[in-house]
Amino acid sequence: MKNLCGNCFANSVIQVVSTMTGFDVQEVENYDYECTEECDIWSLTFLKTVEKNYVMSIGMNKKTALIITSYMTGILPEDIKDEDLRDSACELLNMIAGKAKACLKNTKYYFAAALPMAITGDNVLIDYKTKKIETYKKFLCGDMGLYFKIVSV
Amino acid sequence: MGVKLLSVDDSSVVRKIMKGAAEVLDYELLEACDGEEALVVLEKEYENVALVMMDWNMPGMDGLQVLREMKNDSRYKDIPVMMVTTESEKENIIKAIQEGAINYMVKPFTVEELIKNILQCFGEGDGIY
Repeated sequence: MKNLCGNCFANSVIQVVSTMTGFDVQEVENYDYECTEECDIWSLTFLKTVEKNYVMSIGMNKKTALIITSYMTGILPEDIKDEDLRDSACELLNMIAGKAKACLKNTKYYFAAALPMAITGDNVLIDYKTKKIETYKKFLCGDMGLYFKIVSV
Repeated sequence: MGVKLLSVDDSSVVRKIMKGAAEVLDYELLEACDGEEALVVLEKEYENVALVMMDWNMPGMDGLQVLREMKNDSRYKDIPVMMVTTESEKENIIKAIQEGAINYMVKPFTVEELIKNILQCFGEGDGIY
């Protein structure tokens, strides 16, 4: 998963977020995923392949979610509701799953994705019993951080 | 009465994007958050709806099921449907077109692409995105 699919998912994140927001989006090279980043919003979805199940997630802080949602919708940040922040995080993840799924067609990593869910709070940390992080990437959307993680479960 | 578009999508953010595009075109946007609500809106508004923009994956009845329901109902069968979805595989595009969709737009998209695709559904566009 780590080697074969990393680029596929990374390209999907870049294409989806840049298209929907207009921001320049880049992956941070050699990101050390052991460090804890402050994310107030995580959107997650389950991916089911023939061999394994995964949880794919994207996280960001509230300020980033506000700006991204504002650029997606053309609505001023002060007029955006919390439910819109959750919805935009879920929709971005849904689009990332769609692009990655098409990219992985005819490989053993081709997957079915569930509809996404969102978790919000102050500096939310999601822990997985399996501890099997397949991919953990940081992206810069303009100068804002986006965190993308796939864990086998 | 002006042109009305119906956006069927479980994402409120996507519906807001649709609304922005409709406003640029001076169209009114009706909204439904799932397939069941889409049929309720159509029941009341079918005579005024010029285009349905339909998501595929939604909780409950999915977009393809709604498309089939529409094409089997004499009141709705002539309303054009554009699929707007993350489903980008060729087989799904063919399936939706075979079921009666007149256009197919893959998410993600820019507002400019959305506007061009809406216009194309009315015979004013210049290409599929």
